[in-house]
Amino acid sequence: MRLISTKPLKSFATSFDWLLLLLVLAIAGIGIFNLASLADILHKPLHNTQLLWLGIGIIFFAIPCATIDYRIYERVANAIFILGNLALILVLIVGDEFNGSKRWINLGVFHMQPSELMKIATVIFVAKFFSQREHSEAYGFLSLVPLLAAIAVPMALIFLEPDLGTAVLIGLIASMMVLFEGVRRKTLIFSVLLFMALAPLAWMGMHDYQKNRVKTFLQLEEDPYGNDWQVKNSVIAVGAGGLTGQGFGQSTQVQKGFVPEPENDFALANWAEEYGFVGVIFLLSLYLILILWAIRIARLARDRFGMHLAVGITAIIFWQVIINTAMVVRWAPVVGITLPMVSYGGSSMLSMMICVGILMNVSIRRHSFK
Amino acid sequence: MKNLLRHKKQKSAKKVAEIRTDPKDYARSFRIVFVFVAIPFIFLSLRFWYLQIWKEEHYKQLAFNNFIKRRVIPAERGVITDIEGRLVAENRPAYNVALTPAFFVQSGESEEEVVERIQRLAKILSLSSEQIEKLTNNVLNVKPENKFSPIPIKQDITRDQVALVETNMLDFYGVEITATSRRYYPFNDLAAHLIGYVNEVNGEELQKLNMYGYRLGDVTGRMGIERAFEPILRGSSGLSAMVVNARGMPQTDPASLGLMRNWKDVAPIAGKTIVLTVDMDLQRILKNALRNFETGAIVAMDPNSGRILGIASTPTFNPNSWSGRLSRDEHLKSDTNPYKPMLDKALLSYFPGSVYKVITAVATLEEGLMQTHDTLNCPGYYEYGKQRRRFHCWKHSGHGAVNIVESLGASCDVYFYKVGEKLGMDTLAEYAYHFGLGRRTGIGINGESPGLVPTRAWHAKHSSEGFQGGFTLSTSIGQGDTRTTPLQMALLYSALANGGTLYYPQIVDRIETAQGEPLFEYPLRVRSKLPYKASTLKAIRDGLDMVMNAEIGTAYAYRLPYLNVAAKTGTAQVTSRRSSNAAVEFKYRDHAWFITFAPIDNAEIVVVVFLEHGGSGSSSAGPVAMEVLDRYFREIKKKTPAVIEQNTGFAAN
Repeated sequence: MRLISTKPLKSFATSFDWLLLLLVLAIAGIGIFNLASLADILHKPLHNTQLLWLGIGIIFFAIPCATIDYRIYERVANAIFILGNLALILVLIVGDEFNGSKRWINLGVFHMQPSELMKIATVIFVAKFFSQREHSEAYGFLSLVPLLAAIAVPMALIFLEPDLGTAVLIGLIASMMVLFEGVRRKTLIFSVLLFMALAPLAWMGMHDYQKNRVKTFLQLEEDPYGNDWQVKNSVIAVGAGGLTGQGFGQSTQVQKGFVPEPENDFALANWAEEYGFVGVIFLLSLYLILILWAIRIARLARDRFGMHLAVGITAIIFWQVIINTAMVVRWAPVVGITLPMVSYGGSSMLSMMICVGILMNVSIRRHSFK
Repeated sequence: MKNLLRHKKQKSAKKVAEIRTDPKDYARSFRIVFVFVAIPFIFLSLRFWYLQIWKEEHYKQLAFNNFIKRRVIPAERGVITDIEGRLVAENRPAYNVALTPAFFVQSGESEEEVVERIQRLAKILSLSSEQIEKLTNNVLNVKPENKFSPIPIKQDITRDQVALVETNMLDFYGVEITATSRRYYPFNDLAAHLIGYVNEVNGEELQKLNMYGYRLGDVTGRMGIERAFEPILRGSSGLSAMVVNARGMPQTDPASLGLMRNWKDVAPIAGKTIVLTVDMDLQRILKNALRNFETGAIVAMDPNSGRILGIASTPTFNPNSWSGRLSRDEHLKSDTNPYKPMLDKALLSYFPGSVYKVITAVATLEEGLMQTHDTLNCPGYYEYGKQRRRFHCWKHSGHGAVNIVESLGASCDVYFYKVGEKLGMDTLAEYAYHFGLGRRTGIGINGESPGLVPTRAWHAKHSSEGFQGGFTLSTSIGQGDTRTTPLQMALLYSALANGGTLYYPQIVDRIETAQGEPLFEYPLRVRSKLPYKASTLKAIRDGLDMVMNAEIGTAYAYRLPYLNVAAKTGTAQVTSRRSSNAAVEFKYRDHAWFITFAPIDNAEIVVVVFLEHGGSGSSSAGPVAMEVLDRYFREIKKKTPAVIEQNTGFAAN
C-alpha cells in the first residue's frame, strides 16, 4: 500500500468538499466578526490575531493535514498518542501556569496547549484501535480494557493540570466513538455503574475551585468565588439580546464588562446579545449542518479507519459546541471548553484547523480506491 | 419456552456473525448518531427561545439595572433658628473615609504588607482593634465582584485626620475621603429637649420607613422639634443616574450616555427652616437659673399669645453627642443618671400643690359659695367628718380669719379645705378642665403628659378603697392625685394674667423655605375664653399680688424692688410624712413650684419654675423665678429699673 497517493485525484473540483470549506469559513468568519466588536473593551484588536491564526491554521495545518493520505495517521497513531502523552507530562513539569493551572508550553513564538492536540491524538488512536480489529461481535468490557486504560492516561494527566473540562471532553469523545462501534448492553450498563462508582474518586481529586463550580452550578451552595455571578451575567446578556440583538458593539452586558472572558469561553454570550435569537439560531444551524455533514463524510468514508476518524472529529466539534453553549445559558458548569472557531485562541484555532484538515482528507478520498 | 430461547439465541448469533469491514455496515450507528446529535441542538434552541423571546423584557431590565447606577442625592436638612434668627440646629461639613480594596491592594504585595498599611491607616484614624480586625478581614477576603465597592472605614473624622490621610495618600491608594453633611447644634445643651437631636435610622425602623424614602445611613429626628417636624425638616432627596461598567466606573462616552434613554435626574429639595418662638438668650438665663438644682424645669410664656419664650429642663444633655453614633460611655452616663437627663420635665406631670389653689378659688367665687370679702377661720387645722380627722394647714399656728384674697396670698390650706369640701370633687374637676388640665396642651413634642384631674369616678376606679371625702380636701389644695405639667401651669396662669383667655401653646413661630421665603406663619390659637366674672379674675389677681407684695405673702421676701409682680408658690408633698426636707431621701422631698407673671397689670411674661424634689416653693423656687424675671427685663427687654417704674407707675419701696 502506498502511503502517499501520487495518483491524481479524480478531479479536484468534484472531489474537493466545498460545503465543508464554506461552513468552516462561515463559522470562523462569524468568530472573527464577533471578536471585532470586542476590540474596544479588550483594548486590542483580537480579530486580527484570530484572522492570522485562521490563515496559519489553514496554510500550515489544514492543507497539510488534508493532503497527506490519512492512512498514514493510522500507521503513526500509536506514536502520536505516546508523543501527546509525553507532551502532557512535560507540561506538568515545565508548563507555564495561568490562573493556577498548568496547561501551556512556551514555544517561544506562542504558548502551545498540548491538551488541545491530545483530543485529536486520542481520536486517531481510538480510530486505529477499532479499524484494526475484525471484530464479529459487539465489544465486551474485557476486550475494551486496553483501550480504556490507554485513554485514561491522557485524561488523568489533563485532570492533573488541572483542566477538568478537557479531561471530561476526551472521555466524552472516546465514549462516543466506542458507542458508535457498538458495545454489548451488559458492558454499557457495567460501564455506567463503574463510572458512577469512580465519580466520588474524581470528586476527591478535584480542586476546591472546581468543586465550587459544580456546586454552584447545581445550586448546592451560594457562590463564594463569583463564578455564578459571571454565569448569571452571561444569561442576562443572552436574554437581553432579544429577537434581533443590540447590534454590533452595542451589547451592554459584554461591552461594560459584566460578562467575563467575552473573547473566549463566553464569546457566544456576546454574539447572542448583539444578534439575538436570530443570530444564535443562525450560528447553531451552521454548527449543526457542519456536524451532520461531518457524519455524512464518515458514512461515505472509503474505509473503517476513515469513518472512525471522521466520527471522532465530529465528536470533538459536537461536544465542544454543546458544552460551551450549555455553559453560556447556565445549563452546564463553567469548565473552560471553547466554542470551535469562534472563541479566541491560537491552540484552539490550530487544533480545529487540523480537525478540518482531517475531515477534508477523509472527504476528498471517499471516491478513491473504490 | 425453551424453543423460543434457542431460537432467539440463534437469531442474535446470526446477526453478530457478520464481520463489519465497511462503513456501510454501520448504518444503524449512523442513524442513531444523526438523531443523537440533533437532540441537544433542539433543546438548546428552546433554551435560547425562552431566554431571548419569552423572558426578553426581564433580562433587558436586569441588563439595564446592571449598567445604570442610581445615586441618591441627599437633601440638606432644614435648619432650626430661634426667634432672633440664630441657628440652633444647622449642618456642618463632615468627612467620611472609605477604602476600595481593588485600588488599595497593590499587585505583588504580600498580605503582611497590606496589613501593615492598614495598621498605619488605623493609627491615623485611631480605630479600635475590633474595627481594625474587621477592616483587615474585609480587605483581604473581598469577593471579586465587590473589589471595586468602597468599604466605609470611619465617619466624621477630624480635620487633622483628613490632613494626615491626604498627605500620606501615596501610601493609601484607594482610600477616599468624602465630604458629607452632619447635624450640628451650636448652642450644645441649651434647649436640648426642645430642639432634640437626630441619629441614623436602624434596620428595624428602615423596614417601616423605606416607603417614605429612607435609606440606610439616613438620619431621623429623635426628640423635640427634630422629631416632631421630621417630615418638614427632612426635605426630599433627589436621584441621579450614570452609566457604569462592571467595575462601577462611570462611562461618559456618547454611546454610553445614549443608554440612559429618557432618564432625567431629580433634584433634591432642601428641608424647610423652622423658626422657634424661643430666644436663646432667655434659654441661657433659664439654664443658669437652674444651676443649683438637680432636676426641674422652667417655662417662660407670653401670656397674651401662648407663645413659649423659653423652655428648659434640667439635667440636660448635649445633642451633638447624641447625633450620629453615640459612644457607649455617653449612653451609659445618661442611662445611669438618676435625674434622667433625656426626659423633658417641662412636659411631664407632677403634684402641683398650692399653685393649684387658684382653681379652687375660681370655683368658689364662680359657684357663689363665698364673696370676696367673706372670711373663714383658720386655727391651723380642719377637722373633717365624723371622725374629726385633722387636716393641717402648712402654718400650724393658723392664719385666723382670712378672705379668699388673703387665703391665696398666705396660701392658707384650711380656707381651701373648707370651700373644697362644699364644692365637691367633681366641681373642682370641672374648673380644672376649664383651664385645660387633665388634657394635653397640644404642643406636639416629646410625648407631653396629659396630667391628671381626679374625679369621683376616677377614684372609684383607681383608689383601692374607692372614693373618700377626704380626697376632695387634698385636691382642693393641689395634693391627692392631681398632677399637672409645668407647661399646663404656664397656660393656666397666662389665662389669669391676660383676663381669661386660654391659649394653645406655640413653640414654632413660622416655617420658611431654605432660601428664607416665608411659607407658613403659625397664627395665635385661642383654646377657650373662660366665662368668668371680671370680679373673680380680679380677686385671684389680687391674691397673687398679695403673695409677693403683702407681708403675709408667701413670697414677700423675694419681691423685686422695681417691678410689680404676681406670683403663687407651691410646695407639693410627695409623701405624707412629717419631717424636714433635708432629713429625707431625695425622692421623698417636696416638689417646689413658683409661678409668676409680670408686670402685674399688663403682664408680658409668665414664668413657671418647677423643681422636682426641690423643697420649698418659696425659698427654693422663688429666687430662681425672680432671677429669671429680673434678667429677662434687664437683659432681654433692655429695660432699666427706671423705665419699668415709669411704665408701670410702681415705685420701689
